[in-house]
Amino acid sequence: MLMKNPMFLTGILVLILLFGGSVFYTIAYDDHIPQTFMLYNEEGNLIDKAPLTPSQVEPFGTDKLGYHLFQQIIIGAKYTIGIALLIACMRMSLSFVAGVISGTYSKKTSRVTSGLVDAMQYIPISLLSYFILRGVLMENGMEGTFQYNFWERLIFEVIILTAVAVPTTTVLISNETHSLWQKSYIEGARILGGSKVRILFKHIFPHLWPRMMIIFLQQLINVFILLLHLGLLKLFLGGTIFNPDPQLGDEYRSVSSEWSGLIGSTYEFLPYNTWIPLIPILFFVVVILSVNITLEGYKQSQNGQVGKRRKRRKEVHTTTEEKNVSAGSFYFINHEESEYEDQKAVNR
Amino acid sequence: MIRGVYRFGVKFIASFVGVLLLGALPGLFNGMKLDLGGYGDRLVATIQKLMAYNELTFRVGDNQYPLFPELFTYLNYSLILLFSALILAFISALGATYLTMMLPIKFKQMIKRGSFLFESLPDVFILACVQIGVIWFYKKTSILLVDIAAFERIYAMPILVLSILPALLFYRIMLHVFEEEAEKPYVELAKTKGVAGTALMFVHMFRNALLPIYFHSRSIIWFALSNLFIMEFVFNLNGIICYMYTNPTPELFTVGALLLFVPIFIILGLYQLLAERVSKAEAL
Repeated sequence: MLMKNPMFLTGILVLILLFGGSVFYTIAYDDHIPQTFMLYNEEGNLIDKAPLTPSQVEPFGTDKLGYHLFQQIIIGAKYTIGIALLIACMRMSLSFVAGVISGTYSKKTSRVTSGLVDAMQYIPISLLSYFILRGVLMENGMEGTFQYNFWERLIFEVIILTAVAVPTTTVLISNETHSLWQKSYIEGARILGGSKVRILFKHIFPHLWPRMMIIFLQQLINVFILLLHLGLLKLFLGGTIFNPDPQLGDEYRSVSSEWSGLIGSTYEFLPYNTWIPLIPILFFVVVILSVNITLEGYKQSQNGQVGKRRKRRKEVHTTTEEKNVSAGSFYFINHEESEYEDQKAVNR
Repeated sequence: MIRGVYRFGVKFIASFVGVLLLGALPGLFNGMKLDLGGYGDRLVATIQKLMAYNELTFRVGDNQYPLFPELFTYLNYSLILLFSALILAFISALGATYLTMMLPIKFKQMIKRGSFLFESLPDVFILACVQIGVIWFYKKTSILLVDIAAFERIYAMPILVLSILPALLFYRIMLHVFEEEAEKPYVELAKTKGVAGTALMFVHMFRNALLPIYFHSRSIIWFALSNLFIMEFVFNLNGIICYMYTNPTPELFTVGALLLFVPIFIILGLYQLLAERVSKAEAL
């Protein structure tokens, strides 16, 4: 059912293509970025120098040092998508455990807790993460060194970006779980003697999974947007190399070539070399849209299961309303059911 | 009445404390180490400074200036942008919903299928498009639509830009809520009594839809706030969030967050009360 949904498939396929292509490029070409600094016409005369527009160097042009953007995008894809997936997974697994436990063993989230968690809504999350991460991710401009190495910085960033969303998601999942426990069929299972753990695994989780999937995809979009914002604020994945330069303007560069770095370090070129920041932004749009399409396809397939069943029942109904009445038209609608009733009577 | 005061009072205090705790959060990390003591110190220091809020200062170069009342001009600007954009978004989404509800089912399905595509566009993309659009227009006609680099505060364009994404989100939620509402028996009854479609929607259904819209749309405020921040940053607007960004002292971060929190909380509370009064139901 899910695998037949065209929207779900398209979304997943785009993500896999980008990620897989990126990994393949690293393995096959060892992250080679071609460079075209000078452009000559057919007679061998110099006609332009970098940055070259997308029409001069297919498909996406070059940055100001002549490095081709297309290869940079491909190389960056695995970092951006991979990290976003990792953060979204961690957010989900932590909130899932915490949310299910609190939803099972405590009453409805109290006003105090929900008020405390609501406080998150009044501070832009990108600003909060910026203040926490800045000390670690930004290179010290005067000394030109980082305080920590690449992996430490990356892990720290992942942990922080996970932690900022855990409270809200936990409350959400906790409320979901709690409302499932109030259902009447759970009451039934309890009366029949199911233990709490068994009911949790047999009756709660199957209903919780679809919701979890939806929340997961929403979180994934959230992470992408957060990364984009942080990139714009010049905090790049894994660290920012910072060269203070009073004459030519400060220069910020990304340690890895992930997308938010490509955007953040070049956003001020938007008025004149539009394509340099715009193309990574467009790729962000593509990724976010494909996650959203996946989400929508998933929702549709969830609703579709209900819708289809309803349709089939309708078809059965219409066969009883034939226009040309013949002898064959007369039969017991409840034939099978009455047979079943008979059998039950016999068994009794 | 007392119940109402209790309901909002507890929530307000809890959120207030939450904002205080969050505001001191950057003090929790000393480099990469967790520093609980530092966090406590920072929290206490921030609260002490907040007590004497009249003496708070900010620094430009070597000069120190008192923070209040100067900060309120920044706050006002941000709040005007935020709420005008939200109101604009709400009204335009309502109008669009009305038009969509009048359409035949076939188109309605198509619109519903397509509308989700736009709502997840990242705000940065929209800002970039606006910037490119303004520049393109300037090159073609040499009329500068907005002076992005100007120091004076501009209103029309930021409000318009900020309202785009919330309008799309509101639209989707409203369409959903109104469709659910349309299946209820009282709508059927009103129709049989001959209440016209427009009156039915804006008098009867709208009343009942206010509360569900509120629940679904609380996150929109938060979303718009983070949009506002990025917009202030990109367009160089003199709003309070950009101010918090450029003056990164611990107490300013907390003060800014609190100043944003109080009016938003009050307006949300008022909306909730209004919606409850109108639909005669109580939330939570």
